[in-house]
Amino acid sequence: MNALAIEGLRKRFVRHLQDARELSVLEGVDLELQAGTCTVLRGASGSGKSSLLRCVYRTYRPDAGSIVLRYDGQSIDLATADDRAVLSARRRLVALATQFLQITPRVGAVDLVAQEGLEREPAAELLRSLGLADELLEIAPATFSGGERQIVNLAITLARPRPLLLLDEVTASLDPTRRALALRALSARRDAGGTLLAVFHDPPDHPGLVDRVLEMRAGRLVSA
Amino acid sequence: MTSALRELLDAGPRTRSGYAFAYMDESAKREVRRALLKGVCIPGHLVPFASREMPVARGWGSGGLQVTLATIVPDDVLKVIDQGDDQSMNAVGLRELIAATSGVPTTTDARAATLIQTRHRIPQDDLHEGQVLVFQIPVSDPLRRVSARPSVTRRLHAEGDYTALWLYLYEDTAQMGRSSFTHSYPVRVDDGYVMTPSPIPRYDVPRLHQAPQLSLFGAGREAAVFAVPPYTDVVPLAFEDRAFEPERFTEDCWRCGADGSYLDTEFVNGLARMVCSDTAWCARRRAAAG
Amino acid sequence: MSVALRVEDLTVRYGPGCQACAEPTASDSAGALCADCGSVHGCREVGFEVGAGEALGIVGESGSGKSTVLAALNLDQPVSGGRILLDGDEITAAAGSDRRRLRAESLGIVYQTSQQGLDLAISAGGNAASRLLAVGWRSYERVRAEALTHHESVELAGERLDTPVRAFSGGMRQRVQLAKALISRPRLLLLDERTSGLDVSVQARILDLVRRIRRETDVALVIVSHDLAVIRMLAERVLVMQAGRVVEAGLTDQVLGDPQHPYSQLLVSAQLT
Repeated sequence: MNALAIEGLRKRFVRHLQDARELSVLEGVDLELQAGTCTVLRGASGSGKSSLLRCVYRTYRPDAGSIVLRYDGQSIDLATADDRAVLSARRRLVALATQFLQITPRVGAVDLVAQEGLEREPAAELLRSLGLADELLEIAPATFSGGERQIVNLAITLARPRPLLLLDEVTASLDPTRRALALRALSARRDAGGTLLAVFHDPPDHPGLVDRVLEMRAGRLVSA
Repeated sequence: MTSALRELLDAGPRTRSGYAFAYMDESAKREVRRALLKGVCIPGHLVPFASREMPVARGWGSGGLQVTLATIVPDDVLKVIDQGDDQSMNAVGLRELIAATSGVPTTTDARAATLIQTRHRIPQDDLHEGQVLVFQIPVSDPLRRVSARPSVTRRLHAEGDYTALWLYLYEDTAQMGRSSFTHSYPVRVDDGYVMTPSPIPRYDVPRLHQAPQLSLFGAGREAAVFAVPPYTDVVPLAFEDRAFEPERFTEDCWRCGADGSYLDTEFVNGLARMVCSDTAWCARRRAAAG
Repeated sequence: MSVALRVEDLTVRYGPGCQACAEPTASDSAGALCADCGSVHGCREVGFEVGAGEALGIVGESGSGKSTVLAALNLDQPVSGGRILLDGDEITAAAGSDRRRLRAESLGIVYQTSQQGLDLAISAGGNAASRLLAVGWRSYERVRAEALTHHESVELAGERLDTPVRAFSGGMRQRVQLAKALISRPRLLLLDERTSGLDVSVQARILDLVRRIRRETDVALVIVSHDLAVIRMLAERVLVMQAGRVVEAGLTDQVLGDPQHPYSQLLVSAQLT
């Protein structure tokens, strides 16, 4: 059952501040992902990996193509859906996790995760399972290191059982121990039927996590 | 008193040549009466009128005086009091002017008077049907604190927006446990407009409710009149869980021994005494006691 | 999800208007001032929707029209054209006691400066209470209890309920405005976040309160700010305004991450988000 079907996806930027110069980042991407799989995107900087994730999440507005997400007998084309439908899809169906945590002043790590719909104790447990030290649970992440912020980011992403997870370098700042914890959690999500599309700078070494590796070059997938 | 007025008084009790009955010319009186009629038809509503120059300065009862002069007829019996006292300088001056220019007899007995002009008090005697009570008013609009501009307050009255008054009540209650209005307590008339009952004390405010007399209010400087017809609801603004409280006195009148009348402080031989504010009423009680 | 607020073709024009500036395709570069008749458009043909529980940000430089739109929504500003609908009812030309009731009940606003929104001589509780008194609450105890509840919900100390607002700091005054806005459980909350002079930690506290309000109620929120980071934190959709018009509208992360219109690109590039 294919959970995500991308067809003919194109994206270019028009930089009005630079004489309307055009920058093309996706030249036509076709991709199908099955539920319960983890697909890794690789490629040089600027090859379009992050842009692809952002188009699926609708942070970037695609210029052409379709992005059809299927779940529970329903489907939605994220490329053309209206704002409210996209917001609804983000709440229930798809999450995007990057390296960077949006800093919300004054709110502690546990509360940030709990606001995704968990009780405090399960939220705390999730953070602990990803390797966050107990003494940091109630602290607002503004003073956290990059790695600690990434743990919070991942916990927020995993808090709700969304079927599609888009992951952009989510282990980049983690030490080996915590990276292993993160990959184990992602693997468990995949095993439970989740669909993962991830960008990793270093190929993840968790056994059995990666089902498929795709290469991107100059805005296209070069192997499928 | 001016020499002209002295001559007037010396000349005898009936109307003087060259003066209209009750000093004001007929067209002036007619205009005030029209305004008063409108006021009676719309209880508590401020009605503007062309306030004439009077032989008393603004701030000394010129409005109440115009209402009295426009209303008085030869058959009336007049009483004038100031803070309950018939013999204060202001009460005397006003009474003599009205009497001199109208020939109307005067009295200090509130039961016998048909027309009573008053400043800051209602007579201690309960009044009856057929009597007219004229109040002197300094500030005619209870919303004056909100804005000095009539265009603003007229709109608030028209829309029944008395939020500001309720807010003052709330603030006073929060800060002091009670309202700070010691006099001029705002009242709702006939379940409609909110008016100021003139600077009468809280003690007198409940006595306006369903009163049998006609109450007329005149503000000379502000050029406005308003009215409360007989047997009209007059209810002080109060929260439903903070009842309106009139003053209570812990002493009896030092002169006549009455308990429950409104008392003023008077200095007798250097000592402060609480005595009836209504001097005529108090004197009558003392006379009856022998 | 129900649409709490719908705005259609909202136009505020100062001046007589003429054929030239009535033209809907009048160039953006002409700005808000009409060269022919001298009319200035505070905003023109602005349209958007906000559902119950949703938040919409409005950004743009000074003179973009965002303040005009906010003032029009709060019925502070007479409107030259277009409609404002709250829960499907048109409120555009509400006047007199209707307007007063809407402003006291269904609408709540936090102004840029506390003097606009508060009577500084009155206590914090009194400022909030005035909205209840305006719509007929007549029990002192209930009014006071409600004022205290909302006062404490914005993290103000109960002991200061009766303190005149002029004794409060800027950040506290903002919170008094917030309590006052929310005491009537409005359908629409208007927040003008551009309060200068508040230090960062104070501002953070208020933003946190607004986030909590969004979680706990289904009030629709319209927030005007200079600060894109604030918009990103509080609003999931945003309008970009320039010279009185909406030049771009969409999901906040999309407008900030992939701005289409030249002016949006300029705005985003000039700020740290």
